This record gives sequence, C-alpha cells and structure tokens, in this order.
Amino acid sequence: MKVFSGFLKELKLASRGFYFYIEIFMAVLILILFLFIVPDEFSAKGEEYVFLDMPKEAKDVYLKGLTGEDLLNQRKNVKIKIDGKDKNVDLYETEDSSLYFLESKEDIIYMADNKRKISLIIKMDEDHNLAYQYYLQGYESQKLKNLIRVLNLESAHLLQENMDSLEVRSISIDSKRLSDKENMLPSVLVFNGSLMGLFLIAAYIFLDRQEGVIKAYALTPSPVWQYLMSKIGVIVFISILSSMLVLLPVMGLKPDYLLLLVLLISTAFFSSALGLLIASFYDSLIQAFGTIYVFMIIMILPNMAYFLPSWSPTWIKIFPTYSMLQGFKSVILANGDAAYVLSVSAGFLLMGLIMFFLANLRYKKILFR
Amino acid sequence: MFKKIWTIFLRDLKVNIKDFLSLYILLIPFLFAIGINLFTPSINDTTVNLAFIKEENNQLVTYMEQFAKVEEFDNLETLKERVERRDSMIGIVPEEGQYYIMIEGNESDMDIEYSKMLLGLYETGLNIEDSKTEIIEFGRTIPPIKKTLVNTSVLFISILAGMLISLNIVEEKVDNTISAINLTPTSHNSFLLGKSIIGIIFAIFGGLALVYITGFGAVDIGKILIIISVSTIISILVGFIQGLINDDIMTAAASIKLLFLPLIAAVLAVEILSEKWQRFLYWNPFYWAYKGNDLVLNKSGSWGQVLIYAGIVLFLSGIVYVFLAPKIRKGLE
Amino acid sequence: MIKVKNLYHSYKKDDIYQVKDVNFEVEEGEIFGFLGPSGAGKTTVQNILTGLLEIHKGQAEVAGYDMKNISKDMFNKIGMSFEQSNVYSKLTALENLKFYAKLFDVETRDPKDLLKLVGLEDKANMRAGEFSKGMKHRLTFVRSMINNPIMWFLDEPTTGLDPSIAADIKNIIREKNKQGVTIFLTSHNMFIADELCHRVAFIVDGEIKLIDSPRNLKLQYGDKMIEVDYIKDGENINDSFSTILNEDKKKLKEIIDNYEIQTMHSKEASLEEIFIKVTGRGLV
Repeated sequence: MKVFSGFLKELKLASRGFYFYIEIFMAVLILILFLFIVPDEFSAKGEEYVFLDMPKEAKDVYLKGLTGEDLLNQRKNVKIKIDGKDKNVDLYETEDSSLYFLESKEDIIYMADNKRKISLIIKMDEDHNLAYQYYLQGYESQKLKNLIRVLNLESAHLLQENMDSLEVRSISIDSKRLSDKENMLPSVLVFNGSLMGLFLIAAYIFLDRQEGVIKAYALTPSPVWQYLMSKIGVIVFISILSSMLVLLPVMGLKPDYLLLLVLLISTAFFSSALGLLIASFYDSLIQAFGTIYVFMIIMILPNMAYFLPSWSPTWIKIFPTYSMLQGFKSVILANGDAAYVLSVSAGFLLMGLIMFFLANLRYKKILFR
Repeated sequence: MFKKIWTIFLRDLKVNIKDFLSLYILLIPFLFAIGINLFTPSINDTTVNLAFIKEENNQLVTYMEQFAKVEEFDNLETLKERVERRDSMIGIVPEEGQYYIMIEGNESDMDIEYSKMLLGLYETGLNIEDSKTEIIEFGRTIPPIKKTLVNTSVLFISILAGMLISLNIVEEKVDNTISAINLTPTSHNSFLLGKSIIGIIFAIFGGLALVYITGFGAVDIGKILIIISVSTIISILVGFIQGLINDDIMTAAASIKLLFLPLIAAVLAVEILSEKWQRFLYWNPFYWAYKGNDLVLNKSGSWGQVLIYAGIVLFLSGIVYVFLAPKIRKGLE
Repeated sequence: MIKVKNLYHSYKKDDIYQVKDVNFEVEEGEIFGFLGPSGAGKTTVQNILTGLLEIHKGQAEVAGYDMKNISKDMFNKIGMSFEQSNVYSKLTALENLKFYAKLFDVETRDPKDLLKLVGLEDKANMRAGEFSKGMKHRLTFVRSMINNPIMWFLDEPTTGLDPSIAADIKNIIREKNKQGVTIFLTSHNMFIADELCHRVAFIVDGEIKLIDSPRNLKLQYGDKMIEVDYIKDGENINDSFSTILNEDKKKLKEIIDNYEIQTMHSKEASLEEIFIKVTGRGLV
C-alpha cells in the first residue's frame, strides 16, 4: 500500500513536469504520422532498364510475345531524364517490377552507371538467339549475380507456370500477416514504450538527488526499494499511456491487449531496472548520459534483423530488444502465440528483478550520501 | 570577439571532458562506423534462408546454394522446428516425388516469392552453365545498405550535436550564470557562437570519422562538409531553444528526442516510399540533407546539385530560425 | 555616475508598474545604499541599471552610458556581485575567474590575488559545486571585481556570511571606495548600509520614499532612547523610554525611584527603526 501511495505521489509529481507531456506529445506525433502519412504498404517495386538491341520487327515480335503472354501489361509512355535530356520511353509494369525500354546502349550505360539502376541489353544474333548483357554495380552479392545469370525473359513464361504449380504450406494454422505499416509498430512500442525507462528513471533519480528530496526521504522509515519501485511505477505508467495512444487508434481492437499489457509492463520494468543500475554508477545525469546512450544505440541493432528477417545472425537474438520486437509483433498479430509472449515477459521480469535487486543494494549505499 | 567565442567554447569543452560526456559522445560515431562495417557485408549477402532435409537430394541443395543460404536437417521434424522459429526460414520439403514449400506463416511475401522462384528455376531446368548472360560491373564495392546506414548515422550525429549544446545551455541555466555573462562586454551573438562551436566540431568530426571508417573516404569531403554543416544548423537551433526553455537536463534531452522523428521519416521516405509520397516531406530539412548526402556518398552529385540541396536545408533552417530567434534572444535575457 | 529620471518598469509591459517614477543621482566616489524590503523593486532598478532589464519608460545613465542604447563597452567599466551566487559549479574557483576574466576587453586582475582577498586561496582548485553557500558567495563577490570596475553594483554583499567574513567584505568595499570606485549597494540590511553608505534611498512598493545620509536621517528622525531592565513584584521587566517626551521622562523617573534597576543604557535609533517610521513598513 505504501508503494502504491508512493507511486501516486510520484505520478502527481511527474504530471507537473514538462517531461511527461513531451512523451505524450511524441506519441501523438507518431500517431499522426501513422494515421496520415505512413502508407499501408511501401511500394518497393524493382526497376529495370532494358534496351532491345535488335531490328525493329524483331523488337515488336519480342515485345508482343511478352505482352501476349500477359507477363507485361499496362504499357505506358513516360518521360525520364537521361543525361540531362528528357526522353520518351515505354514503361511496362508487372506486379513487382517496372521495366523501362530505352533506345540505345549509351542510355543503358548511363542509367546503370549514373543512376545505379539494374540495366540490361538484350541482343539478338543472326540466328535469332538472344544474349543478355547485364550492367551491375559490383557490390551485388554472388548469389544475386547467379540469379541474374539464370533468369531470362524467354523462359519467364515457363518459369511462371512452374512457380504457379508449386504448393506453399503454412504450418501455423492461423497465418495472419501484418501490413508494412503495422509491421513498424513493434519498433515504436519498443523504443517509445519499453526502452523509455532506461533514460527516464535515471533522470528522475538525479533530479531528486539534486533537489535534496532524497535526503528528506531518508529520514522516513520507508525502505529504499519502495522509493525505487514507485519511480518505476511511474515509468511503466507513462509507457503504457504513450503506447496505447499510438496502438489503439492505429490497430483498433485487433491486438491482444491483455498480453500487450503483460509484455509492456515486464519490458518497461526491465529497462527501468537496467537504467537504475547504470545510473547508480554515476554522480550526475550528464555523466550517466553517455553510457545510457551507448546502451540505447546497441539496443537499436536488433531492429535491422527485425526489418530484414532473412538476416538474423544468432548473436543478434541475444539482445533483449530482439525478443521485445518479436513479442510485440506476436501481440499485434494476435496470432495466439501467448506462450511465446508470456515466456518472453517472464524472462524480462526475472532479469528486471535481478537488476532491481542489484540496484537496490547499490542505492542503499549511495543514494543518501 | 573571436577570443571570447573561443573562451566560451573552451569552457564547454573543459566541462564536458570532466564529465566524460564528450568522451562517450565522441565514441558514438566510431561505434556506428564499426557496427556498419561489421554488419553490411552479411546483410548485403542476404537473400533468403532455405531449409532442406539432409542427404536425400544433394543435387537440389547444391543448386540452391548458388542463390540462397541453405541449412540441412536430419528429418522433417527438426526442419519443421526450425521453420517455426521466429526468423525467416523457408523449408523445401520433398513429398511424392515433388517439392512443396513449407512456411511458418509470418514470412514476407518477398521471401516466399523468392523461394518459389528458386524452386521454379530448378524445375524449369535453368542452369548457370547454360546461361548466355554476360555481367558487366562498374567495380563499385560499397553496397547501398551501407550508404543508407552511413547517411542516417551522419544526420543522427548532427542531432546529438544539438543535444550536446542543449546540455551545456542547461548547465548555464542551472548555475544561473547567463546573467553574469550578460554583464560582460560579450554580445549575445558571441555567446551563441561560442556555445555552438562544440556542436559543430562534434558533428563534423563525427561525420568525417564515420565516412572515413566506413570506406567512403574517396567522396568529395568539401561537399560532405557542406551538407553536414547545414544539417547541423537545425539541430543546433533546437538544441538552443530546448536548453533555454527547459530548466532541467531531462526535459531538454527528451525534447531533442523529438528531432529523431523527422530524421527517421526522411530516411524511410527516401528509401522505401514511392514517388507520390515524397512531397509530403518537402518541409523536412532532414529529407533534403539526406538526399544531398546520398548524392555525395554516391559520388554522383555535382557541386551545383549539392549546393541546391544545401541551399534548401539552409532555407528551411532559416525559416525555423526566424521563428526561434526571438525566443532564443528572450531566453538569454 | 548614475542618473535616473522618471523611471518606470512593468514586467508584463502593462500599466501596473513594479517601479514607479524613480528619480535619483549617484555621485562619483559615493557609496549609495538602495534599501527596502524584499519585493520593493530594488533588484528591478538595479537590473535596469546593469542592462539586465530593458528600460521601458524614463531615463537612466550609468558611467556616462545611456541605458536606452547600451554599448557593450559599458560592461568593461561596471561590475556586479549577485545576491544569488552564480558560478559554474563544474569549474574550479580559479577556472571560474579565469574564464570570466577572458570575457572582458580591459586589463583584469590576477584571479589568485582575488581568491586570496576573500580567503579562498586554498580552495582555488576545488570545484565550485563543492563549495558551501558562503564560499560561493565570496567567489561571486570577487568575480565582480575582476575587471577593475569604476561602477560597482553589490546586491546583498554580506547576507548569509559569518560575521568575520562579512567584516572582511566590508573592508574590501571601503578600500575600493577609497580608490575612487562608485558603489551602488542594494540591501535590506540596514546595519551594513549604516556602516558603509554615504547616502541611502528607501524604496517601498516601487517608489522612493526618501533619500539622505544615514547621519542626517538619525538627526532628523532619531530620538534618543533609554532602555531599562528592572524588577517589579518579583518580575523582570524590559522597557524603553524617549528622552524627549515628557511623559516618558516622568515614567522613567518613577521607575528609578521605586524599583530595583538591573541594567540601563541609552540607545540611538537604528536606521531600521527610522525606516519603519518613515515608510510605515517593516523590512521583511
């Protein structure tokens, strides 16, 4: 009960500080971005520039062949800038790429060299055999180069047929997918929710030390851990508030909010306890600042694995934020993977408790000095 | 006047060194650079991860290794377990003389399509050996993902520069020393300039360190300096205003955090959003700074183009300045 | 050295003035005391005279500079010791002074000499953040002398200091004044004003009630008083009586005749009592 009344007092104090409202404001800004600016799906259409090095008749036949097979449709005449000059070119769009047909080899080389676009020349020899000449930058991986070698337009139709006949089986019964926009939310929850405590708790503690409030507290019979816990309570509260502010309007009732709360509380508790522990080694916020920032930056790394799921080296999974991101993703998907979310939460709660215990030991010694 | 500006800068430097703050902040560009160097090769090499059952179909595995990262498993059970894990791993499973693609369900469409294409290629019988494709390369070695990361980091560092300034201003406020400075023949402008130097030096030093360590040393340093300098202005302005209106470090640092939003928005817009979304970010100085940096890192920007981008950033920062200048002036009194 | 004419100031820039129609002049070489209770407008006037506050209405001239268009050069000639010490807590005492010295265009004093002056020479390399309140105050005080000001503003220069250090500070002020420095001293402490000032101004509610020398004030307003401790019906009683009023004289005589006197001394009216008499206000 004492902890709770301590929490209420801290909350009242926090709500009188400017900081509280910055967090809310930040959440509102993010919300506005998500509601009005971030599109549901990012178009990541590949662009290729093609020059058909063949007589006009052959060209027509070739293109007709492609369009006839429905591989290319929606032909458009567009203007693009090549070497400072506007040029009219034909643009064919497929579901996932845009093919621009240019008029000369020079234009192709220009696009490849100056605009870093994938460009190719398709050449027809006298025996009507096609040869491909791709222009690449040099940094492409061998795997990609291999792929480019085997892909060619004339077997595209056959390839498509073979692909269509393939069966894709999903082992999870409920295989919901997040849109690109929704997929960004876990990242927001981790950084604006869970990790916020890392910095904030340190700031609150130093502020109290600076104002001498802590000394007054030392003269009461309440133990240190209650003081620390009431601070953490405030952080968790702000985390929940700012997370809900974004999540509710964007996702509606889709996510599993009960699980979200569990994960949010355990991760915010973990990062606040970590922040407490780090801060205990410094005399002022500015001194602690550097370390906390370095920690924050290291914590950002798993984002790369999150957004590029095929790139997930084992070592990156050790970072706490990796599990946080995956946990929040499960929550937002509401795919019933409660076991995972709960085990992640339990892990953070445990780690948080250990750090809180260590921090408590340290603060008992240093806080009232 | 220069002597005074220098004196004010040296004082900030001394205090920041005493607090180890500059040390840590100076560390950040190196940390970024090393991280970028470490990760980009493996990220660049990433296509799709495929799982197979051991021994049974060596030929297919050898074929797939040309295009994807391949892992083999003893039996269907272990393969299934692996596919079920959270990262993206797609199984290619034999069944009645055919193959099917096993996914967990959370993989991206792109990965699934890619796997389908690879298996399709195999079944269509297309081989590298038969390929009549010739590849001509320009000999560039730095992948775009690296450029993106370096560019973002350079701008990130400019924001940290603003944060550094705002922390130093808050220090003056906490100690109440601005009034003492006001009673010396030091003008407001000298004071502001003196306080800015540490941020500018940090942004330039950090930016250059990043660019060099990540292997972009061959770019036109003059151009990159121009973009770094102009993009730092906005962070410095915000640094000042936050330092002056906030009485404690916490609020100042937190308000600076708000700057990360336009930065992230700019990077996402340029890198992922299609043409029609771009104009929604024209107001954002980081958007133009990012584009300018991109040109320079690409070595494809002429002085004219770079100066246009720098000019736009300067213009937008100028508008911000017009709004903030009276507040900054007031804060100093 | 200072000329102030019809000075008004309002923090909210409206018609409610915190400082109203203030007029006074300070002669060169004078120690001028600006006295009043907290919130009377002392600091406002002082801030206007040091250029920390903009002038709204009226005229002010300091060391020959018009305060309406302050030339930065003026700050080479003035110094100010703040009531609330404001030094960089992260710099040492010496670093604080060295830094400040470099902000002036004129020759400045050796920081070490200054620290010695206020007994801080042993603490030169200690961070000001670790200083006690009094030490910080002394540091703020000597910092204001670093540019050898000819016009010196002192805001509560001895408040909160222990008596021996306060005495040192008073001596430094007298010494500087002897060298020709004009001093504008703001305080609510009448004793220091009484000791140091050639002339004092009483300010209450933003208005100057009176300007004169402490001596003249005492002659004019100060009645001689007798303070008596005596025993009446076994009780200790303390009382004071005017030596001018007949009624008081009679009472005093009666006490001397009838009771056992324990102590009795004559007392001059203090500046504080005069202030209360003139303004009808206490000093707190």
